[in-house]
Amino acid sequence: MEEGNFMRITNAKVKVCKVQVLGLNRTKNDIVTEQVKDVLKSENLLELVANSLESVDRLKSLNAFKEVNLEFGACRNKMGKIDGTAVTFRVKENGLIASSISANAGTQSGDANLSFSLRNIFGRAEQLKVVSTTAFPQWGQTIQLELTKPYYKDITRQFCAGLGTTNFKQPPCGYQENIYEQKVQMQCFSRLGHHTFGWFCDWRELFGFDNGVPMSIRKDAGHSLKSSLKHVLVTDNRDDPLLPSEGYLTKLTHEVAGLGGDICFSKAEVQTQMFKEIFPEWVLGLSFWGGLLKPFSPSKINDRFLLGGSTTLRGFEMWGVGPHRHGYSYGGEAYWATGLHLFLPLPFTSGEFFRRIRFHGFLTAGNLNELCSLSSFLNLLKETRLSGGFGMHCRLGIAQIELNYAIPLRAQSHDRLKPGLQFGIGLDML
Amino acid sequence: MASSAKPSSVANSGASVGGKSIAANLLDVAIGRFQWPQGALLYFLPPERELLPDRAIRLSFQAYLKFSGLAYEDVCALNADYMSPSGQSPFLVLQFGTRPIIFSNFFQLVSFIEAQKLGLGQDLDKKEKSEHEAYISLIKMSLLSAMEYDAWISKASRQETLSSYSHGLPWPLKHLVPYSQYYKYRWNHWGLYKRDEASVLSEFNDACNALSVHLGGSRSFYQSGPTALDALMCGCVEAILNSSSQKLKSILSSYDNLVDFCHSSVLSQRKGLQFISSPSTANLSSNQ
Repeated sequence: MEEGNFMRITNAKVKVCKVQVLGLNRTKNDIVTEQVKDVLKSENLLELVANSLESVDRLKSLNAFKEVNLEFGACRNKMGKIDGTAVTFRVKENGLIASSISANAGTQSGDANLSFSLRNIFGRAEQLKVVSTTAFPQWGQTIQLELTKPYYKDITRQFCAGLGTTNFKQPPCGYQENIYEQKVQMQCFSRLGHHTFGWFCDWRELFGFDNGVPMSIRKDAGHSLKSSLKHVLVTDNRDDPLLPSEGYLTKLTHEVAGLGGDICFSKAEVQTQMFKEIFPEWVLGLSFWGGLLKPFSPSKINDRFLLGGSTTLRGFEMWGVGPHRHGYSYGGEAYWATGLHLFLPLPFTSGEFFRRIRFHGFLTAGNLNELCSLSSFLNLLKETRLSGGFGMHCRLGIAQIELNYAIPLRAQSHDRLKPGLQFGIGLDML
Repeated sequence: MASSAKPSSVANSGASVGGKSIAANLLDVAIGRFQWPQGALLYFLPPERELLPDRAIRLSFQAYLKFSGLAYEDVCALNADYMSPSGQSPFLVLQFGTRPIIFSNFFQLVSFIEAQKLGLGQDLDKKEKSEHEAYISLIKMSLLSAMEYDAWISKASRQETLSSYSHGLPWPLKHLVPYSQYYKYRWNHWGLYKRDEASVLSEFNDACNALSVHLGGSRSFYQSGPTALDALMCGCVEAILNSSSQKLKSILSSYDNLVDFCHSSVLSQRKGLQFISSPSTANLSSNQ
């Protein structure tokens, strides 16, 4: 009986005769109308609630409002008779200027971020953001300016243009690099996932080589211009982006460089993660990364792949796996890496914060090599590096932090190993 | 090839690869059995990329190594300045075992070689040695500064300098890099940038005068034979005489003995300066 009543209520016909958004000041009507117009199409109560809640989400995702409240009321005609439903969205607009400051620290390095943004500048959810990141000790500095704008009022499609400059040291390879970057990109959704298409133009300057760096790495010094088209597809099927227990995440990247500039290559990379809950709160995670670089002119060290370190193959130094020249990482044109994790909850704890911290045991394997012949390709499988260990894994926002005890189980003589405690922080972790 | 890892020992040996050769070489140096390594390479910029002061230092490097009889090979590279640890061309690479030692500063190389008793100027007495140092400083402060001023700041040759930086770069870097280098130079050498041309040229003239008086009619600055000062002077004179800088050239040309010194037969090895590659000769040890 109760179910029948529920069905009767949800299927009850409704007529939406008025949708109003109150509290608009700087925001233009047209972009707001686009987000709430579906509410008018609602024919029954269920549709009305679903459409209204979706509109609230869409309004929030404009990043123009700090508060969006939904109200339903009766709509009366001139005679004072109830004519239909009136839906009211009461919004509070965000201030024009926003800023934030944050810092991360690790055992060997840390960084400080300062960001400043102008939100909803022209009233159509445009955003101008300046982010400055300083990594210490002396690892680098980044300043980026980015303008994003929804494409034709559709918030699922974003246009983005950016300028940036990065200066960083790459101690494992013994060089410093200055990058001046420009990008124009478009983001949209399809059935496959979230796409990013873009043109990226990087003016790179390699300089400041350490005294011991061999000539084979030093020959890449100087200026180069990489102008490339890039496509990134992210398919996310996980049940929870922060603490997933089921589902998979795949990121496919393809980059073709050579539209102007002096760098020509084609590069493909895949990163995938799968999660499965084997017992309550015991989660098994399997990840696989792989990459292939096909250079059409001699490849430079800053285009080649590097592997090893606390975020990839644990138990190795930063970029400590693969070809080396006199103790400096040389990078390779192909790599693969896989990691198997078992995440366990902390015992005797409760609460949201402690859910984010988990024990984990892991095994990571992979290899990086140059692709000069068939045998070097086969060596990718033959000379597999392997490491294992256990530690704590913590998820803080989009960043992941790990403190591990890792032991390299299989390595090559030229690899740089780091057995023992290892601290890692990163956005993507193997 | 795969080896099961013994973490601590492998990690330690990996860390000491770089330090080992230096320690071994320091020991060699200390016990006086330092040997000039085979396959020493002198990297420098091609003529179209080379600025006047870079050319003078390159010729000085070449002259010094030739005079000392130390074998090396020339390597011309379009990005030699970025390859250098100091950001300046030329630089000399000595390969000791697995690790290179790089000298990108002429004066460092001279003191290193002289400390090994391989170089020139071993027969100078104490007074001559301090005089020698003073004249080298004079060249550094006056002649090389004047050449830098001419290349980067003087309006007459600034365009030539900027266009030299555009060689081998793709559009639009060929327009951006020269100006970025120019402004970088300007900020790093603000004192020189703010000086006026007349004072730089008068200092250049005074230095030439002092060197000319010191040289007199002889064919090298010291009776005992060519020294680092001869090599440096020879490099500077050769570079200026073959440059497009009319002002420096006209001042230097008025000192006939300096011009003759560069062309003189004592420095017959100077023909070697024109070589792009010279054949390696036998290793020299400290006994030779």
